[in-house]
Amino acid sequence: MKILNYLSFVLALAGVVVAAWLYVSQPKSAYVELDKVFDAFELKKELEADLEKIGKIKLGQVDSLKLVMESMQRDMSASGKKDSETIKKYQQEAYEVAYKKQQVEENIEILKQEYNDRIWKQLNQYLRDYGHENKYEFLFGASGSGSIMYAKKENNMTDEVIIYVNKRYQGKK
Amino acid sequence: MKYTTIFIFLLIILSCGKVEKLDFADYMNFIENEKSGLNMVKEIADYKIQVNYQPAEYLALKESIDKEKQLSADKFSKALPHYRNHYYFRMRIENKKQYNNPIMEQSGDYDEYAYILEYMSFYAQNDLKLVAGKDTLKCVNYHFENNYKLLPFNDIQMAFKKPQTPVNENLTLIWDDQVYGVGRIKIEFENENINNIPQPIIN
Repeated sequence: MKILNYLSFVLALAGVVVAAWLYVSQPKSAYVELDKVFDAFELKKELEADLEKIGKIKLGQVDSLKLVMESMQRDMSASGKKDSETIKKYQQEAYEVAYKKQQVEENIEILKQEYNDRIWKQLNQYLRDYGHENKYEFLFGASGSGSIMYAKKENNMTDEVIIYVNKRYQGKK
Repeated sequence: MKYTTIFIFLLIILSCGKVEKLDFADYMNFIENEKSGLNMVKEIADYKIQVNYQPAEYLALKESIDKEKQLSADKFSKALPHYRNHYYFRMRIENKKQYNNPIMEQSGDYDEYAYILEYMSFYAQNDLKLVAGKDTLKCVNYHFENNYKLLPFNDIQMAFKKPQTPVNENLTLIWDDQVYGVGRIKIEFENENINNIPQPIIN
């Protein structure tokens, strides 16, 4: 009877150990909503503000050229000068202004792409570090494109990750 | 009994306010050690950026130690005042994956190499700032150590003038990188670590 008791105790203990081991050895995974993380990332906010500032200055310069064009047009109407040379000069100026505007817009677009690359480079690094530090086997990025069709809300680490990436970006340990 | 209590109390008070003292070689190692919180590392993609806060004593010591590793106290005391009014940092940019110079690694051809080298030599200074409390300080002294691609890293020595009123807050170094594609880098040095730097033993 005593041996039976002892055996059942050992078996129960082994069962607990196996259950605990199975629980611990389960791959730990989570997901983050990438769009939310990207939008809340401090570097993104800072570079977006920088880009807006640059855009305003550059497009402002083009707008000032437009004002010159408008005054040229007014002068032409007032003086009644509508000879082919004046019209040609006006058209040439108008073409140059349009070309400059297009160039500025293209440059802003290139800069935006460059800034996005920089943001993702840092974000990817911090997400990797987050996964590594918190011992995740997998950290999925839900971007709404259908890569993750379903996940329990409790596995959503977005808010925690936002705090982490911003802390890391600020250079804090 | 009464005197013993007073003596112990005084001993505790004195030991609390006492700044740790280190042999000059240990002091140098302390400043360069990552665990001291004065040598901070940030890794982004392929690059490792390491920034070392260098107190005045550290720089004065560097000037005062000869080839035989003997310290000249006279040289030290003369050099120290020159470093008192600035915050000094050394930044090292390293390529993690390749054992190549980072400029070499980043540039596809000679033109790109020349462009990055020119930026690092003359223009990166404009992209460096130090946030000290409410003040944002400009980099007033900058030196890029060109090692002609011989080493797998590049070092930059920089200085920021200290504000008139002493700052008792964390320092954040900001580098707005324009050539390595890593973006704006921020590295924070805790005030506590800066205030608790030991003193080197000079004599």
